[in-house]
Amino acid sequence: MMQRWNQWVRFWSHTEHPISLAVVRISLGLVLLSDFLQMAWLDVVTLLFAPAEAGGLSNVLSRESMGWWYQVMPATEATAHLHWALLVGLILMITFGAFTRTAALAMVLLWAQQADALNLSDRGIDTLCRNVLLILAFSGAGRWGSIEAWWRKRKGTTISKVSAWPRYLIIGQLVLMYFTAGIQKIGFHWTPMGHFSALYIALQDAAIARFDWSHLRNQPWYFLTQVGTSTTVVWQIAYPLVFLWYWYKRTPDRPGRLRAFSNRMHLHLWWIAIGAIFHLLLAITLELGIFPWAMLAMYAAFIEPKEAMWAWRRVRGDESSEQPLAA
Amino acid sequence: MTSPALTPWQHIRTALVTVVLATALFVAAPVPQRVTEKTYRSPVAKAELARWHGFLSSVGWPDTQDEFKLRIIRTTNAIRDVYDVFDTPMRPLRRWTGTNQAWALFAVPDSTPDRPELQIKQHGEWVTVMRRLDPDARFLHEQFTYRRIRGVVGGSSKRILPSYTALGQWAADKAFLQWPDATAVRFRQERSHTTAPHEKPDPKTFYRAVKIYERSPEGHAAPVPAKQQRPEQARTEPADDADGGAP
Repeated sequence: MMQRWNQWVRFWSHTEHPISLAVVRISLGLVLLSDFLQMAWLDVVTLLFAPAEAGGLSNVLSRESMGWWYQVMPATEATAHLHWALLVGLILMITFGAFTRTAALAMVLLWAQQADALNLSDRGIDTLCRNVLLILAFSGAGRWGSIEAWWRKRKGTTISKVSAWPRYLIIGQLVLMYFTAGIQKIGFHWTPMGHFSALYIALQDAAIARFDWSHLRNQPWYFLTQVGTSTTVVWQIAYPLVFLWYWYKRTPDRPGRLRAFSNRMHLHLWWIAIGAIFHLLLAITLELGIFPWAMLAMYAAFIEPKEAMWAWRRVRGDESSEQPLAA
Repeated sequence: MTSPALTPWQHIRTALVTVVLATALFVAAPVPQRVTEKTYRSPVAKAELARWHGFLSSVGWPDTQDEFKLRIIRTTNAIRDVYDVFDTPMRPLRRWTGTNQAWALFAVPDSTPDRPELQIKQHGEWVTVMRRLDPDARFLHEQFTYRRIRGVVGGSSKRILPSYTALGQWAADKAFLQWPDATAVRFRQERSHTTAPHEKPDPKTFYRAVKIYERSPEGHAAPVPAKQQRPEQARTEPADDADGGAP
């Protein structure tokens, strides 16, 4: 029992180069920045951040239990804009890596106040982003590609390895999300009895469709939506297999035909590629805002630091540009 | 080669990560929401119940549809009671951090979707100025497409919430500024019924969540009380002919 626990502790004690976590931090930050700037461009900041008494949509002031923001701040339009501006500032700090941990934690707490005040405007992807930001708040994501890293380098400190567990938790979060989304697809249209028509039905929703998809009623388009529906369900329910593929990748010297097959075929990459295609198709067909892009930003957690470093060197065209890693 | 000894901090950290993992798994457990008789007033829920009962009956399930519904209500509530005992202490933390693990993601695709529509009254006639996916009616189209605003509209899919009325008032204010000769603004949802190709098509649509706003003496939009609005007539025409409708 103790041996198992020690193995468990060793797994969560792995350290690695911070580049993968940094890519999650930067790409997620850019996605969030685009979303919050879109609010200003659409002129809906007051609507989404202010209580009804100050021109917004929230009934937060008339509730028995309100969040701390409007307990300490006056309910005005200026307060709503200050709330938005603080969040944008924190997103910039996260993206550029200035006081990253503090900024990520503050972002989660302050963003949760907007979500609490007008929860109808807060979507599942916002919750997922806060989950990941909370993990980043305890990570070394700010140690590479950041103002923090630049400052450390200026002081002569080399890039140190960081704990890998935050990256593992982000991967776990994605697997949990896909798996539970898969097993909760109990609507009849997701099943063979409902002719796998769920995707077709969803695409007919004028509130979220990017285009008029009524022609999908005809063949062969309807058949393609059925393939998409069945693939989505199977892929989501089977998503935890990605853990197995990664385990095989980590232990290539052990025996087993499935291990050999998985490593030869790079099955982990297939799982990730299907996910990326799935989200790109969602982005093309439905108006789901940042959902597909934020998901793809989080996919960076699947990239091993050595793979990310290889890609980074290729981008820079510099084979010798890898930063020295402290032991 | 022996591994270096583990430090007390590594044990503590792993214990904390394990607690986080266990909590996330618990919160993510696909525990059903509380289901009541009221839940089955929704057309989507009614249709789902009928479909599942039809399928289970065909493979020998003995319940009538009403018995099946009561069984679902009893079972889901019993599961929820147990779940809530453990979940309730965690709720304040989730509220303060805005975190959760509820990922339904189109668990039941909406077969009775709503299409938002905004109209202005000019010279006694209603003119459609915004209708989702209508290239000729794109006033505030980006705003009504934006996911957060869509969430507010979608939140009133069963009954009109104050946030929906306030959103309509905001849109009406913008419309009155854009069209100074407009005397009223109507914000409503056109509900349709999507059927799969193997099902009988249902071309009927009707309007719901209708809010009318008139220009106040100060020039702002003021909602007309529901009792003073003429009832909207159910429509049977195809949805793409929607600029007239009730006055």
